[in-house]
Amino acid sequence: MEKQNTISAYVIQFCRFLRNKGFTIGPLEQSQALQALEVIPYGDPAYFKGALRSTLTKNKAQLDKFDDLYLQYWAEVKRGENSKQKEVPEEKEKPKPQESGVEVLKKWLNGNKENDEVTVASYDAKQKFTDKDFSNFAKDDVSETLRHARLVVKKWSNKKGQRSVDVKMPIQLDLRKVMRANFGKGDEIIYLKYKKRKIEKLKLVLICDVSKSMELYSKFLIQFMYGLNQASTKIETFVFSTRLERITNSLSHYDFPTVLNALKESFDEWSGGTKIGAALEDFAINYGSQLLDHKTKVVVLSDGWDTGEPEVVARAMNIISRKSGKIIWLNPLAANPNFKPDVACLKAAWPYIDVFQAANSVEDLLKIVI
Amino acid sequence: MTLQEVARLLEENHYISDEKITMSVFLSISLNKPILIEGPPGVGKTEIAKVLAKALETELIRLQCYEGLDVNQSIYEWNYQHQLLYLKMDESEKSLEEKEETIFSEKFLLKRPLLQSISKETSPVLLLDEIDRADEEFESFLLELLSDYQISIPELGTIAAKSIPHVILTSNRNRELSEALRRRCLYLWIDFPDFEKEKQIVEQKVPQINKRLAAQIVYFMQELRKLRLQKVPGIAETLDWALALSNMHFDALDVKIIESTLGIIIKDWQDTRLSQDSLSELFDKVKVKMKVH
Repeated sequence: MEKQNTISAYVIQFCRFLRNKGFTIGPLEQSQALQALEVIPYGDPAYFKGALRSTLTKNKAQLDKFDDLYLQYWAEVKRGENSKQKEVPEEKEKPKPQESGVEVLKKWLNGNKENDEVTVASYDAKQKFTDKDFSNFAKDDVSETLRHARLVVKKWSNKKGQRSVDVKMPIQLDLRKVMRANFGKGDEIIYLKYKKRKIEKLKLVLICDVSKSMELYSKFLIQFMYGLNQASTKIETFVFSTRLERITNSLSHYDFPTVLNALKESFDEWSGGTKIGAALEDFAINYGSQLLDHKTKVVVLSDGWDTGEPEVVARAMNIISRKSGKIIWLNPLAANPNFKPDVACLKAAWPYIDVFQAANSVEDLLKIVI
Repeated sequence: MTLQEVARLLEENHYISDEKITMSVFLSISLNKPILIEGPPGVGKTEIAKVLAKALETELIRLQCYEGLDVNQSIYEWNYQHQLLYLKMDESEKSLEEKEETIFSEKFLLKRPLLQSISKETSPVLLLDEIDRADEEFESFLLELLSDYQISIPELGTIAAKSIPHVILTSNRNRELSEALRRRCLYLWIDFPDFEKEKQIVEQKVPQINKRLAAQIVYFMQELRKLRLQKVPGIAETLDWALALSNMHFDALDVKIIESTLGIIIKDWQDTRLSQDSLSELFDKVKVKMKVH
């Protein structure tokens, strides 16, 4: 009985561990996991892991991460146990002091010195940064950002669609629905049905470049992503440097400092190198069919400085443009009057871009018609 | 039912399974939980439901989801015509309340798949195929059924399940399913099979096939999937191709045969062009693999 308790405790702890890593696990999933462990054959580690995997993962991304996290957790547990034998329990029990989200973002802004990513060639703008104090980043008043973001979303989304919706107000009779509603009522028309054009919600996928060359715009970027996600629920957000990560969930919290913390948890390559092609391709293949349809607009925010092959970019953009409604490429560098899109990556992507625009501030975004 | 029994049942019913699939099916049966199966098209998601129904010797109730699917077509509908006729024919001196009670009884209820599935005496297998095609509103209807196995009908009250159905949902990830739906299910991802598994499947479903040809076909398909195709061919295509080639009494592949039968496995013109370009290269890889094999 005693042992049983210990295993359940470990499983609960594991659930909490996964929850911290962004898994959606509540008491329901925990109890399911424990129930599953009751019914599987006892003593086989493979079954144990399999049962936890079946009950605790809820989508492909979680499934892909599960094996690593499982190993990581048990390694941690083992380390904890070993240290207990040496009788220094206090130290091990405590989670190592975590850097605050602001710290990490600050590091990103200052070029993430520990990161052994290859530095990407970029224009020189770093010195402007070093003296800037970004610890007040989180304290910034974000209400202005939110107000702008709402304006942007409103500007972008007031489109009437082809479909109609039921309304109670007698605006326009929907004869087809009247027929349908009264079909079974003999020859009397009892119910009247009205319709109006459905206003299509803005469906947006944001793909933001957070590599080293974009450092200059990081503040705008983060507020931009945060603001848009607050203003509309139909926005999916991804960031990439050398790999792609979906951060929609991290952005969903209302409180800005919490969002910063969550962002830090979910992505560890702020200010890394850039592989636009690989990132876009990853997006196109793994999320393309699920998130894109002809009503969805894809906004790519990047300067186009890339270390990868331009062909990969073209291939990925081809897939995305076929599946989505429109591709909008926002380039912070394009604000410069001498700017020409002559980087290899941009050249490759050019045929598939519907709107190409400079974007340094939220005000710039208001000028865009999508 | 134990894990080993589930594995044996799947095997007996000619479903080539792996430990992940077996575990999910087993847990779904023993915890009475629906399974949500995702994966690329043509990897045998729907097949699991069919095999499960056969293995458990029970009925398979299938609901093919599509955009616009609503309560009337999926849960229940009142049989208006029947109700009207009944009222016209009923000349007895019943009070209005009594008449109302009669016409809103189960006799006049048309049971659609979801209601059917919970009103059977023995647990059927309920397959909700391609749930991602249905609207988001429909997903919300499902929540009550999937968590409590009951359905509320305003005129009749709540109908609880006589026996809990084995629910299987499949999705091709054309749309992101809601978190609420996911939480009520066990999640299973089925990917394209590896060489050994796919070969087993081919040999089992097309028993008359030449062993060498089967291996070649599977190697070729495995290589083909590595190309960046728009529509990646699934197991269904492999089987069609294997059946076609074996019916034409071929013993081995060559580039010419592949080229002339490419339409069986590739269904997109861009893909066709791409694979035609790299056909001999692919075939060389197959030859190398066959030698090593």
